[in-house]
Amino acid sequence: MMFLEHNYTIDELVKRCKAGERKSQELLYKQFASKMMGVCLRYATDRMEAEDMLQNGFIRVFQKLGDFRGEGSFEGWVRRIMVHSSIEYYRKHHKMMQVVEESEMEEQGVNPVAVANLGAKELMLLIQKLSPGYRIVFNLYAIEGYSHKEIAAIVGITEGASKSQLSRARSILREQITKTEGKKYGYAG
Amino acid sequence: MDMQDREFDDVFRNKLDGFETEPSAKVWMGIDATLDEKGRKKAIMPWLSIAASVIVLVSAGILFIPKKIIPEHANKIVKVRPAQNIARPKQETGIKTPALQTETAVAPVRMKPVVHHAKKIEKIIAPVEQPTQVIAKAVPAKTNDQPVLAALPQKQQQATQPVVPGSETPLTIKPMESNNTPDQQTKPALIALQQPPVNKPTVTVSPKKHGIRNFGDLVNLVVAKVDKRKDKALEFSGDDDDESVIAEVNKGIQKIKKDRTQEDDK
Repeated sequence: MMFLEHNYTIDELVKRCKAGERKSQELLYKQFASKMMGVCLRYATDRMEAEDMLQNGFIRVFQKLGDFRGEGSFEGWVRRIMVHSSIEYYRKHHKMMQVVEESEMEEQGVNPVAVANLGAKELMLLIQKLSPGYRIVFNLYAIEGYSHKEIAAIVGITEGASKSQLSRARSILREQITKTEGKKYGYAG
Repeated sequence: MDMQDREFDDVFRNKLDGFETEPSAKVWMGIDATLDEKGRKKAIMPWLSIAASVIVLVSAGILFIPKKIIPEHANKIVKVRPAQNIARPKQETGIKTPALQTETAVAPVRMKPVVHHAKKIEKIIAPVEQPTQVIAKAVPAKTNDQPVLAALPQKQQQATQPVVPGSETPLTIKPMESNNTPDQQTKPALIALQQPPVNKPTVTVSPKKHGIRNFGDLVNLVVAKVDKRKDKALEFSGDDDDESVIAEVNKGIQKIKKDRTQEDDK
């Protein structure tokens, strides 16, 4: 069992939050804020957007706390809410899903060492440069581990669209990695 | 050296899944403010609905009750005129005037100055005079107002009609009496000492039962229907015909109340 400040377990904290104790809500927020900020950043274009998503997500967490029955990990539950709130953010702001042009992109080979050498911050920046539609599908599939079927349901697109968006997202990322690679080491040719 | 899709994804997952960074402080401030706002809305809701229902009741009252008031007013004007003439002498001197005439005459009067004086006088007089039947009847008539009024004058006037025209006569007798009582307020008090206040209970009839003459009364009526406590949530004093003054606010914890007995003694 995880212990927090004042020796509250997550369970106790959740119970107090359900009773509407603001201090406990703040403790709970502090417990998960950094981790969830990491989640939101992957879905956002920049920090500001990510913080908006985080704020909306936590408000929903506190509103829906009564629905949490203690099945599965609490962190997993919070994370799912963050993901949904991030996708919702794009729906609200009409930035949703550009149509994928089916023009086949030439698959570029990427040096695995190059990818492995990139730090988390650099990878984060690469994802943030993707357009929202690609970014969401790539995040849901590659990092969250959802299937195309699940993604189709969550995002409201067809499974086929999910698949093509994923492969397009990968292509763009590879392209970008090759570019940064080139910048780093100069054009080796 | 191509990389499989799966491996490619894994690199991202491994590096980004545990990525943590502290958000700025304004995120919690925003959450805190939003939760406050929603909490306040919840807390206000019951009060809003109470306020709304009171407004609905009051406006319904305003819409439907005026029809009742009109005949009452008509009644009032008709009755007042003759009564006022008779009452005047009483106001000036009439302490020992035959109770029969004055009291019955006062009864229908709803004119402000007359009523006020009559009220005072009567309170003190009552113990002085032997409680006649008329007083006992007249007092409720005055305080209780119109509904009773309508019935009373007809009966009384018939009974006392022979005396009423002679309302001039008391005036001639009065000087004697009024010499004895230069001050209306002190003298009766003295007498009151000598004679036990026989009639007191009938005199201090509570002014609770009113007809509806103004907005204050209307509110009182509505509040009385809703609030059965002795001290109402909101009460207007209906002593004056024209103005309504908030006499009482009772929110349970907080209570503001004008002392009615004091006010009457003044």
